[in-house]
Amino acid sequence: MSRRDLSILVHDVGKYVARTARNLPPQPTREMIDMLVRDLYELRPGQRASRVFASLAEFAGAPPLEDVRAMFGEIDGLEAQVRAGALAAVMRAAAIARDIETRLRAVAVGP
Amino acid sequence: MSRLLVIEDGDEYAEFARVFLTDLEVTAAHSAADAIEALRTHGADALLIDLRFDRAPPSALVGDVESTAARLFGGDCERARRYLQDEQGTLILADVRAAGFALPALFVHDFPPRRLANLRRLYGDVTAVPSLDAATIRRALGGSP
Repeated sequence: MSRRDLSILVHDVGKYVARTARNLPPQPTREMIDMLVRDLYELRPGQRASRVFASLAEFAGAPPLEDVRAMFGEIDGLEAQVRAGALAAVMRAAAIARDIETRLRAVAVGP
Repeated sequence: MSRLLVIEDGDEYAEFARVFLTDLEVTAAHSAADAIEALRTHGADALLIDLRFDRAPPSALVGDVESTAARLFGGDCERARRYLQDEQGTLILADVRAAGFALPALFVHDFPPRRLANLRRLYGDVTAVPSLDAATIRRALGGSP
């Protein structure tokens, strides 16, 4: 994966998947939850974040990115509850999204 | 600081700012020309600028693909197009500075220190934060978290 591809992965996926997640208060408004839904499940037109990630992460066999793939799987599994505004699911999905951003940045920086 | 001009090719930054930086008056622009017009018409106290513009039409980008290809990439227009997209935020900032606006500019990007120092040498008051974190951005813009 080129440095440019890695930068795109960090910034086009990591930054935006955590856009709302990083800023959620303990009792988020419906507007904030709708933003989170867009970040996680409609990151690009017709594409959930996990799909955008998969299309960019060409060498997803590397351990850090396998972790991220699994985390996106958990986010996708929470979709119905997040869309419904179930607070526990919203907060869990947000926590995973923040972790994804952190892990992608760590991969970009390298050891 | 109360007026923030967001410059991006989508609407993600502006939406973020309107929801999480509610103490700021947010306006948005999608090109250098839009931004300069907004600054002349409404003014602003700071800029929040996206770096990559991969969704903007080529006609809206600062920089010409063919001349950039000839100047920097040995005639390779595809590499020139990617360069113009990847660096569009800094190219827009250059145009804004050339138009006479010296207001603080903030990027949400983890630039290497030398790259950020170079941007400051070229464009003056430039700050960068790594994430769309409202408290960090507010601090970077000179407000309280």
